[in-house]
Amino acid sequence: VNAVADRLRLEAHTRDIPARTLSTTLTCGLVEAQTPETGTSRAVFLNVGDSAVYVLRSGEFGDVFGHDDTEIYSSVASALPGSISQVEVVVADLIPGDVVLLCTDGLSNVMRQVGVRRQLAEWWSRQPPGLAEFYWQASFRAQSYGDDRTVICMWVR
Amino acid sequence: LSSLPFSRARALLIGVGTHHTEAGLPDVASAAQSARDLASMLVRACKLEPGKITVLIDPIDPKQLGDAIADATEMADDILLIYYVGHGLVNQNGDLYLATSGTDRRLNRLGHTAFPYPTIRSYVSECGASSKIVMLDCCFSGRAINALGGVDDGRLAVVDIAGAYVLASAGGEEVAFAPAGRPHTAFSGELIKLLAEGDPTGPSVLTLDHVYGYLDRTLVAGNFPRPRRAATGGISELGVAFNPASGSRHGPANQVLVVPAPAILIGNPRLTSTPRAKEPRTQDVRDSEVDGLQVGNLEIRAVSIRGDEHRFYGEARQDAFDIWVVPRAGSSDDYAVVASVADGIGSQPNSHIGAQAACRFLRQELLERIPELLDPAYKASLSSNSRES
Repeated sequence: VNAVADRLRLEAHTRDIPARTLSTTLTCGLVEAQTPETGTSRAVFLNVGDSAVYVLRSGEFGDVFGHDDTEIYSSVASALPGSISQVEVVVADLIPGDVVLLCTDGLSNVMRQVGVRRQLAEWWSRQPPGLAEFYWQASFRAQSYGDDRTVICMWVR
Repeated sequence: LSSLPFSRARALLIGVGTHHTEAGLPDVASAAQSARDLASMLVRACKLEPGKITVLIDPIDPKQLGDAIADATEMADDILLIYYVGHGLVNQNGDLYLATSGTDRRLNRLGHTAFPYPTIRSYVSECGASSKIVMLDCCFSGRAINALGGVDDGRLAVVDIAGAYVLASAGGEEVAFAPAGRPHTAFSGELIKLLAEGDPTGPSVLTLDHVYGYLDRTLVAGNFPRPRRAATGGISELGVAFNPASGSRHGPANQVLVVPAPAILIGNPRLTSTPRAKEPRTQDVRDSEVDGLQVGNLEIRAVSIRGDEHRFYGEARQDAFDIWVVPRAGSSDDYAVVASVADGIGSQPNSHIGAQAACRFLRQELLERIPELLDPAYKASLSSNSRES
């Protein structure tokens, strides 16, 4: 993460713009794509900022970084390249049937609403949708939630 | 593709079937119903506004008929349709006249009791609408095509009114047919049937020329006179209705895809999702990205969608994602996936660039360390200190 922050600063220098104008959160998941004999796939999640990682298991979303318990809509989010000391790391073991969600706060904020959470759990507990269907699902509208929305779903078989 | 331009048209439909004078004409029992049923198909199939359709049944004299035509040409600013069903007559000079209820067919009275077609021509040519369609379902109606300055060869007619289309139920020397006992005349009946039921062999949108081609095919097959047409400009391709029978014989390419609007899960969103123009600085940032792949035992779907606020204000999407598949050392089919999402900080002007760059840089930095990160020993090293800097 230090190296990423360094490279962001270099990128800013190359573009001749202040580094802080590039400020961004960053959330990453590294997931094994083959289930070893143990029956669980290892995953490592890194996070700086207010994006979120969930594991959808048995119809319930588990919040990997525990952000759901923290203050709602914290106005000062950690961001790169500034907050290199605010890195969270979690290692998780995934089992077949799990769905891993990496998403920005455009989705995680609105997922605090029970109805949204239940609808997404219903859509994504099934077989993986087609691309157009997935786009449509993620395009759902919600009053007062007009932020950009990014989500990566990984179904573990 | 929810509505066709023709749905904005203004239409005047005239049906003359009842004749009063002793020296008059035989009644056309199906004229009034032909005009009325076509009007209802213009609403149902062509989606015209009912308030922009006038149906005139049995005008008593040429003044009443002429006033209605003049009113329609004055009010039409986009597309104008004038339709007439009734008797067509010809005077000693070969000019076409359209009958009113009070028309006297005797040649020394025809001129002042019937409506001269050249007057319609001049009213229509003065009309400000960009597209003007005249449909005549009467005897000798092919003369209207000559009268418009064209050549009556049924195909290539040169009309000197810009954006005009004339469709006639018969040739210049032919009579039109209103079969006894049928609710509609032959020509209008086929036209109404096409709009109601569609053409299984036709395209998804019925254009004026497709309407003509369909009428030509079905009327000839029924031993009725061939219809005639004349057109200028691109009006032949004007779509008048979606073909209700499309797709019954053709593949999905001919179907009109209906995608449901995004589900509304909370409240009543105030901003529309329709994206407005982007500010020039961020024009190279796409509204959305979508990706999907299958790797080993993982099925992946990813999407990044610009929020309604950024769409409304023409601002760039500041989110980004990245998915990278990596082979583990010493194996060709053993894979891991690096997936990342980033949210550029809204208050910072270049954060859309930062978000994309951060995802890419992190992936590049991680590649070397993947075996180490996935090793069980790494988890053990974290357990004593759950945060790393």
